[in-house]
Amino acid sequence: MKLLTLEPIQVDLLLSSMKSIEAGGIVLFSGNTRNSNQGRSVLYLEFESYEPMAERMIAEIVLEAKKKWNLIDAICVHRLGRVDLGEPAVCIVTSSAHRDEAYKANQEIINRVKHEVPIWKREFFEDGTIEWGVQCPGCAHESHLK
Amino acid sequence: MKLKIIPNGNLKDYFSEQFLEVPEGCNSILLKEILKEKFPESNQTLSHTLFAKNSFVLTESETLSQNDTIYLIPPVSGG
Repeated sequence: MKLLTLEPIQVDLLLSSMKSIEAGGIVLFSGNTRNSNQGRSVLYLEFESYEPMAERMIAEIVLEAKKKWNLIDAICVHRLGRVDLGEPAVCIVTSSAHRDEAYKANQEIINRVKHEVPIWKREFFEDGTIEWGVQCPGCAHESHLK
Repeated sequence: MKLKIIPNGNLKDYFSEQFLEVPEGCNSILLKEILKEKFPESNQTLSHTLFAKNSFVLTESETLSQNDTIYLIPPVSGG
Protein backbone atom coordinates (compact mmCIF):
# COMPACT_ATOMS: atom_id res chain seq x y z
CA MET A 1 0.00 0.00 0.00
CA LYS A 2 1.24 3.48 -0.84
CA LEU A 3 2.09 5.53 2.24
CA LEU A 4 1.58 8.82 0.39
CA THR A 5 -1.42 9.19 -1.88
CA LEU A 6 -3.24 11.79 -3.93
CA GLU A 7 -6.41 9.69 -3.69
CA PRO A 8 -8.87 9.73 -0.78
CA ILE A 9 -7.82 7.34 1.97
CA GLN A 10 -10.12 4.33 2.14
CA VAL A 11 -10.42 4.20 5.92
CA ASP A 12 -12.69 1.15 6.00
CA LEU A 13 -10.33 -0.83 3.80
CA LEU A 14 -7.35 0.27 5.83
CA LEU A 15 -9.03 -0.87 9.04
CA SER A 16 -10.24 -4.20 7.67
CA SER A 17 -6.78 -4.94 6.28
CA MET A 18 -5.46 -4.92 9.83
CA LYS A 19 -7.82 -7.47 11.30
CA SER A 20 -6.13 -10.49 12.81
CA ILE A 21 -7.26 -13.22 15.21
CA GLU A 22 -4.19 -12.37 17.30
CA ALA A 23 -5.24 -8.72 17.70
CA GLY A 24 -7.26 -7.98 20.81
CA GLY A 25 -6.99 -4.26 20.19
CA ILE A 26 -7.03 -2.30 16.95
CA VAL A 27 -6.75 1.50 17.14
CA LEU A 28 -7.60 3.78 14.21
CA PHE A 29 -6.64 7.45 14.14
CA SER A 30 -7.98 9.58 11.33
CA GLY A 31 -6.72 13.15 11.17
CA ASN A 32 -9.37 15.01 9.17
CA THR A 33 -9.61 18.45 7.60
CA ARG A 34 -11.47 20.72 10.04
CA ASN A 35 -13.69 23.62 8.95
CA SER A 36 -11.98 26.18 11.19
CA ASN A 37 -8.59 27.06 12.56
CA GLN A 38 -8.16 29.61 15.35
CA GLY A 39 -11.58 31.09 14.65
CA ARG A 40 -11.15 31.35 10.90
CA SER A 41 -13.19 29.40 8.40
CA VAL A 42 -11.17 26.89 6.42
CA LEU A 43 -12.22 25.80 2.92
CA TYR A 44 -9.70 23.03 2.36
CA LEU A 45 -6.07 22.02 2.86
CA GLU A 46 -3.29 21.11 0.49
CA PHE A 47 -0.35 18.91 1.37
CA GLU A 48 2.95 18.52 -0.42
CA SER A 49 6.09 16.62 0.44
CA TYR A 50 9.59 15.61 -0.48
CA GLU A 51 8.19 12.22 -1.35
CA PRO A 52 11.17 9.83 -1.35
CA MET A 53 12.27 11.05 2.06
CA ALA A 54 8.73 11.22 3.46
CA GLU A 55 7.90 7.66 2.37
CA ARG A 56 11.11 6.31 3.80
CA MET A 57 10.62 8.13 7.09
CA ILE A 58 6.99 7.05 7.52
CA ALA A 59 8.01 3.44 6.89
CA GLU A 60 10.82 3.73 9.43
CA ILE A 61 8.61 5.37 12.05
CA VAL A 62 5.99 2.63 11.68
CA LEU A 63 8.62 -0.12 11.83
CA GLU A 64 10.20 1.37 14.95
CA ALA A 65 6.79 1.59 16.62
CA LYS A 66 6.00 -2.01 15.73
CA LYS A 67 9.20 -3.15 17.39
CA LYS A 68 8.97 -0.87 20.41
CA TRP A 69 5.35 -1.69 21.24
CA ASN A 70 5.39 -5.30 20.07
CA LEU A 71 2.58 -4.63 17.62
CA ILE A 72 1.00 -7.25 15.46
CA ASP A 73 0.79 -4.74 12.64
CA ALA A 74 0.72 -1.01 11.90
CA ILE A 75 0.24 1.27 8.94
CA CYS A 76 0.23 5.00 8.27
CA VAL A 77 -1.08 6.64 5.10
CA HIS A 78 -0.85 10.38 4.43
CA ARG A 79 -2.70 12.35 1.76
CA LEU A 80 -1.02 14.74 -0.65
CA GLY A 81 -2.70 17.40 -2.73
CA ARG A 82 -6.07 18.92 -1.92
CA VAL A 83 -7.96 17.49 1.06
CA ASP A 84 -11.52 18.74 1.45
CA LEU A 85 -13.39 19.30 4.71
CA GLY A 86 -14.12 16.11 6.62
CA GLU A 87 -11.71 14.03 4.56
CA PRO A 88 -8.85 12.19 6.27
CA ALA A 89 -5.46 13.81 5.73
CA VAL A 90 -3.68 11.05 7.60
CA CYS A 91 -4.76 7.64 8.91
CA ILE A 92 -2.90 5.36 11.28
CA VAL A 93 -3.98 1.88 12.32
CA THR A 94 -2.16 -0.11 14.99
CA SER A 95 -3.00 -3.59 16.21
CA SER A 96 -1.72 -5.47 19.22
CA ALA A 97 -2.69 -8.29 21.54
CA HIS A 98 -3.87 -5.76 24.14
CA ARG A 99 -5.26 -2.25 23.65
CA ASP A 100 -2.67 -0.31 25.66
CA GLU A 101 0.16 -0.91 23.22
CA ALA A 102 -2.03 -0.14 20.21
CA TYR A 103 -3.14 3.20 21.71
CA LYS A 104 0.35 4.28 22.73
CA ALA A 105 1.96 3.24 19.48
CA ASN A 106 -0.71 5.00 17.45
CA GLN A 107 -0.16 8.26 19.31
CA GLU A 108 3.59 7.97 19.00
CA ILE A 109 3.35 7.44 15.26
CA ILE A 110 1.13 10.49 14.63
CA ASN A 111 3.30 12.68 16.85
CA ARG A 112 6.43 11.67 14.99
CA VAL A 113 4.83 12.02 11.56
CA LYS A 114 3.62 15.54 12.37
CA HIS A 115 6.98 16.70 13.67
CA GLU A 116 9.55 14.83 11.61
CA VAL A 117 8.31 13.85 8.15
CA PRO A 118 8.90 16.33 5.30
CA ILE A 119 5.26 17.13 4.55
CA TRP A 120 3.94 20.68 4.37
CA LYS A 121 0.38 21.90 4.72
CA ARG A 122 -1.26 24.96 3.22
CA GLU A 123 -4.55 26.24 4.59
CA PHE A 124 -7.04 27.87 2.26
CA PHE A 125 -9.38 30.17 4.21
CA GLU A 126 -12.83 31.42 3.35
CA ASP A 127 -11.58 35.03 3.39
CA GLY A 128 -9.35 34.24 0.41
CA THR A 129 -6.08 34.04 2.29
CA ILE A 130 -3.68 31.12 2.00
CA GLU A 131 -1.20 30.26 4.72
CA TRP A 132 1.37 27.58 5.40
CA GLY A 133 0.44 25.42 8.36
CA VAL A 134 1.82 26.11 11.80
CA GLN A 135 5.30 24.72 11.96
CA CYS A 136 7.58 23.60 14.73
CA PRO A 137 10.97 25.25 14.26
CA GLY A 138 13.79 22.82 14.69
CA CYS A 139 11.69 20.05 16.19
CA ALA A 140 13.08 16.54 16.03
CA HIS A 141 15.21 17.33 13.04
CA GLU A 142 18.18 15.49 14.49
CA SER A 143 16.28 12.25 14.07
CA HIS A 144 16.56 12.57 10.30
CA LEU A 145 20.28 12.20 10.33
CA LYS A 146 21.81 9.16 8.75
CA MET B 1 30.73 24.46 -8.56
CA LYS B 2 27.05 24.26 -9.36
CA LEU B 3 24.22 22.86 -7.18
CA LYS B 4 20.54 22.45 -7.87
CA ILE B 5 18.49 23.91 -5.04
CA ILE B 6 14.90 22.79 -4.43
CA PRO B 7 12.95 24.73 -1.79
CA ASN B 8 9.96 23.21 -0.01
CA GLY B 9 7.13 24.50 2.16
CA ASN B 10 7.06 28.21 2.85
CA LEU B 11 10.56 28.67 1.43
CA LYS B 12 8.86 28.53 -1.98
CA ASP B 13 7.34 31.91 -1.14
CA TYR B 14 10.84 33.39 -1.23
CA PHE B 15 12.63 31.62 -4.08
CA SER B 16 12.08 28.89 -6.61
CA GLU B 17 14.00 25.85 -7.76
CA GLN B 18 17.28 26.99 -9.31
CA PHE B 19 20.94 26.35 -9.93
CA LEU B 20 23.35 28.02 -7.57
CA GLU B 21 27.09 28.58 -7.85
CA VAL B 22 28.93 27.76 -4.61
CA PRO B 23 32.63 27.37 -3.67
CA GLU B 24 34.33 23.99 -3.89
CA GLY B 25 34.16 22.19 -0.56
CA CYS B 26 30.84 23.77 0.33
CA ASN B 27 28.87 22.08 3.09
CA SER B 28 25.34 22.63 4.44
CA ILE B 29 26.48 25.35 6.86
CA LEU B 30 28.07 27.42 4.13
CA LEU B 31 25.15 26.78 1.79
CA LYS B 32 22.77 28.13 4.42
CA GLU B 33 24.84 31.28 4.77
CA ILE B 34 24.96 31.76 0.99
CA LEU B 35 21.19 31.40 0.76
CA LYS B 36 20.63 33.80 3.67
CA GLU B 37 22.71 36.41 1.93
CA LYS B 38 21.00 35.86 -1.41
CA PHE B 39 17.46 35.71 0.00
CA PRO B 40 17.53 37.73 3.24
CA GLU B 41 13.75 37.84 3.53
CA SER B 42 13.79 34.07 4.11
CA ASN B 43 16.37 34.18 6.92
CA GLN B 44 13.98 33.27 9.70
CA THR B 45 12.85 30.09 7.97
CA LEU B 46 16.34 29.26 6.72
CA SER B 47 17.60 29.34 10.31
CA HIS B 48 15.40 26.29 10.99
CA THR B 49 15.95 24.57 7.66
CA LEU B 50 17.71 21.28 7.06
CA PHE B 51 19.35 20.25 3.81
CA ALA B 52 18.79 16.84 2.27
CA LYS B 53 20.33 14.86 -0.57
CA ASN B 54 19.05 11.53 -1.85
CA SER B 55 16.32 11.60 0.83
CA PHE B 56 18.71 11.89 3.77
CA VAL B 57 19.54 14.99 5.77
CA LEU B 58 23.09 16.19 5.29
CA THR B 59 25.36 16.29 8.29
CA GLU B 60 27.50 19.38 8.82
CA SER B 61 30.65 17.44 7.95
CA GLU B 62 29.43 16.30 4.55
CA THR B 63 30.90 18.12 1.59
CA LEU B 64 28.68 18.83 -1.39
CA SER B 65 29.64 17.86 -4.93
CA GLN B 66 29.24 19.38 -8.36
CA ASN B 67 25.67 18.95 -9.70
CA ASP B 68 24.26 17.75 -6.38
CA THR B 69 20.53 18.28 -5.99
CA ILE B 70 19.82 19.67 -2.55
CA TYR B 71 16.32 19.67 -1.05
CA LEU B 72 15.58 22.33 1.53
CA ILE B 73 13.53 21.04 4.45
CA PRO B 74 11.97 23.86 6.49
CA PRO B 75 9.98 22.96 9.63
CA VAL B 76 7.31 20.47 8.66
CA SER B 77 3.54 20.68 9.10
CA GLY B 78 1.99 17.40 8.06
CA GLY B 79 -0.63 15.40 9.88
